[in-house]
Amino acid sequence: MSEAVVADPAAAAPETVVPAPLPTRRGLRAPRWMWVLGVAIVLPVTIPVLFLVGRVATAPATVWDTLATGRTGALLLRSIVFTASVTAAAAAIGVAAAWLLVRSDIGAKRTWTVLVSLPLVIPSYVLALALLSFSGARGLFADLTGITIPSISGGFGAWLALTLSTYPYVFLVARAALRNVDPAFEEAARSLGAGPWRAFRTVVLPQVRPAVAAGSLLVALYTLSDFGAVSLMGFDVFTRVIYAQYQGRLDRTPAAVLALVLILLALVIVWAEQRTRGRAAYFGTKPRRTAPTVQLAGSSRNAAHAFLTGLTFLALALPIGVLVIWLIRGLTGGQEIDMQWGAVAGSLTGSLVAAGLAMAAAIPVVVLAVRYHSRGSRWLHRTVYVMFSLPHITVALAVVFFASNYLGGLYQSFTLLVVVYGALFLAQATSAGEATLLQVNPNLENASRGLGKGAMETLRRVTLPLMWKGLLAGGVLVFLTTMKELPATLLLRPTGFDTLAVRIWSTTSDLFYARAAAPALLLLAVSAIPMYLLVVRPRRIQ
Amino acid sequence: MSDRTAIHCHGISKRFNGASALDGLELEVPAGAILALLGPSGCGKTTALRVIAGFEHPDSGRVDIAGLRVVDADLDMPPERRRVGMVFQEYALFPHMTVADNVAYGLDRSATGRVLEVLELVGLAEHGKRMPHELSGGEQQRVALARALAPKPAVILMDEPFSNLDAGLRDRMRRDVRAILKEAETTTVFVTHDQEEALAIADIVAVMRAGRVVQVGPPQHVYRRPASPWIARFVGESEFLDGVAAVGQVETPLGTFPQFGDLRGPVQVMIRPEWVHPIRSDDGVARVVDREFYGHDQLLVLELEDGHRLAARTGSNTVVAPGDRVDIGIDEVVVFPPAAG
Repeated sequence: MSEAVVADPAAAAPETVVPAPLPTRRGLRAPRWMWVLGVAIVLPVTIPVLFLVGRVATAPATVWDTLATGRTGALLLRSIVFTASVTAAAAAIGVAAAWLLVRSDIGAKRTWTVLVSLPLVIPSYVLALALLSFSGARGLFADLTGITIPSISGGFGAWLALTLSTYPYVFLVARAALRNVDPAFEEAARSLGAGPWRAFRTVVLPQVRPAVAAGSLLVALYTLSDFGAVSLMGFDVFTRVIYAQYQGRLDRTPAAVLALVLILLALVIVWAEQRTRGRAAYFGTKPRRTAPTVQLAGSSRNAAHAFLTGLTFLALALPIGVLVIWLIRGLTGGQEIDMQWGAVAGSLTGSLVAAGLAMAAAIPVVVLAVRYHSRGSRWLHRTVYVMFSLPHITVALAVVFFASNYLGGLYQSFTLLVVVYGALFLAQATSAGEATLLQVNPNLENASRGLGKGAMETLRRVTLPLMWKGLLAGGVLVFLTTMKELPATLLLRPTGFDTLAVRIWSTTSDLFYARAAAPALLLLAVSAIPMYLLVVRPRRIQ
Repeated sequence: MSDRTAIHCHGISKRFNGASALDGLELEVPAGAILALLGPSGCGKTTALRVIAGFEHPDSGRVDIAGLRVVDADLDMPPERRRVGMVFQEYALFPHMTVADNVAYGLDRSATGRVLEVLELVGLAEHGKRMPHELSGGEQQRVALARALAPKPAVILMDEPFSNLDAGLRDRMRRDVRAILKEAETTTVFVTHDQEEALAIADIVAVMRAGRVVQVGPPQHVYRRPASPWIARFVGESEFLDGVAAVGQVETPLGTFPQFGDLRGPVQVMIRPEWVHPIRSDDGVARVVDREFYGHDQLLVLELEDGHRLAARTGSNTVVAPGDRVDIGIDEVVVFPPAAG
């Protein structure tokens, strides 16, 4: 275990004696078993994706046929415009809400913050379902009031559903970033002659920009990857077309080509976000004081209240209300109460196993990245993040191709499904674990090594006890994300395996709304508990 | 108030959640002076600075800056119109802008010459393209000062300007900052809890306690003639003896000294350790019981016949060792009423 130390004491000694300014052990080499584990973890996703690339490369004729049609170009343009408009709207809503709830003197901030964050647990397809069944000639609104409102569907419906379910990603990071901007910056700008608006625009906004960009990246990737909402709304973007191609044609190469184009698009977005990070250093330290609140005048106060109320109504009250009404109608209409225990069991076991796998797999990745800086550990780390950014349907498609060719027994097995879940969402577990391990002084581990304990024992007795809370928080996130996952589940689930997400998605006409209400409410209820722990009471867990 | 007054604060009070931070503060800062607001933490000195800058609105009182009313009962001029340059405790350099952009922030677009001018003044002309985090602590402080000076403000305000620097750098930065401020011919108010810093840099020291200014004067005066025992203890080291005052003089266990005042009867007598001069003498009045040797000087603890102890700060060449008997010479004493705090 500890051969690296024993073999080269001279290389390790300076690191253990002199406290380095950066908490790293550049000189120490990671034990080989850790590398074996770390690399093994990313294989379930990377090999199938590379296989997909190979398969497409060996069928150039089909590739050109697929790419040459005007439909692919239009599809690409539509997906880009759609993703950009959802991201812009979510960023605007998220930043505005964060500013109001951090810097303005609006009342009941804690309550509003919880209400504005909660839509995070509502999957986009549940929102889409709610909007669809609420509007239109046969919708709930028309039914209750006799007034017909236009049907919310198609591109607009998909845009609304995705914006309302993704803005919390921007809101949460923008809120944290705004709270961490030292008010001295704004005061410095004011004393140098800038008015309040110029000070906000030139000094505060640039400092929260990296956080807003990171949140917007999540929104963009979520939108690009979304399958459920666009399918229910009947809006043709990449994911929906790929699924249709996969289902409807014998030759699956066109689906593979489109999947690769979508993967490239996702990678371009990730790359672009990386590029916007400049030379500036941003400090995550808590400022000494909180910034004074800005007094809102009467009319802007009313506008702010209208904004928050409208947002909470559309993103939270409407979907929950619609589901509850459908459930009651189903019950009073004499419909059998189907609690869908099979789907509940499927969702819970799949998500729990995936969370456990991701937490275990995160350990080598985090330790390698934080404690053993090297080109290899950086690549591994980056691969985990790229895996997270890939649209699920493309990964699922790649796994289907690969498994049906080479892994006969595992194809459409529970094992393969949870392994893919765990690998896809591994980044959520690693980022939480990393944040914790970065706070742990590496000299604690050095002390253990110095007391004669090997790398394995040090990991077990020192590192893990100190970082398990972070890993647990990451595991909770993986659980939440897996509960909501749809397209990979559709493609990879074993026959007879059902989840709440699949049940909701299969409810495509109003005849079934009442039946979808129960699983959807159950999904929200199950997701709300970890959400409460993570967002409302983060101290409980971290 | 004369033309030569750069800042005038009158009757400023400010409470935070019921706790008084400023309690009728009076302060006049002459144009061109460097004034230190010196006080222990919680005395309201930073609040006073923030009221002048416009970041806090006082509950009552008024403030004039360069003859212009900026705060009174019905007026609260926003900070950007007060012509006040602020140097923050942690500098608050905008992390997303270069040094030059930071300095140019308060200037018109056309005034690029001024950026170079002030960067030269603080000795950082070559650093304009750097980012703030690429600079050392001392350099960051110079940039913060250059940025505040650039728009030619009526006054410069500095909040604990040297508290973030390590000890070696701090002495150098004190000298440099004083030289820069003098060259810029600006009026400066800086806040500090470090009496040594206040005495070393300021032309005028204003001692604050519980939201009020309790003494104002040149450093030498505040040190030699503290207005109360509390100030004597806060500004420098001090020893207290009981004495009895008569016309023009005061009697103490160490002898009789002239009195600058007209107190009568029992009094407190304050002596600075460096005013005490022990002289070796085998039948002296005191005995040396301890010594702390600092190199440039030393602190001797003397015990009188009655058991009373007294510290003496002397040059390091004074050849006196623990156990020696000494006679005591004293330069001067300060006399306070018996109950004064």
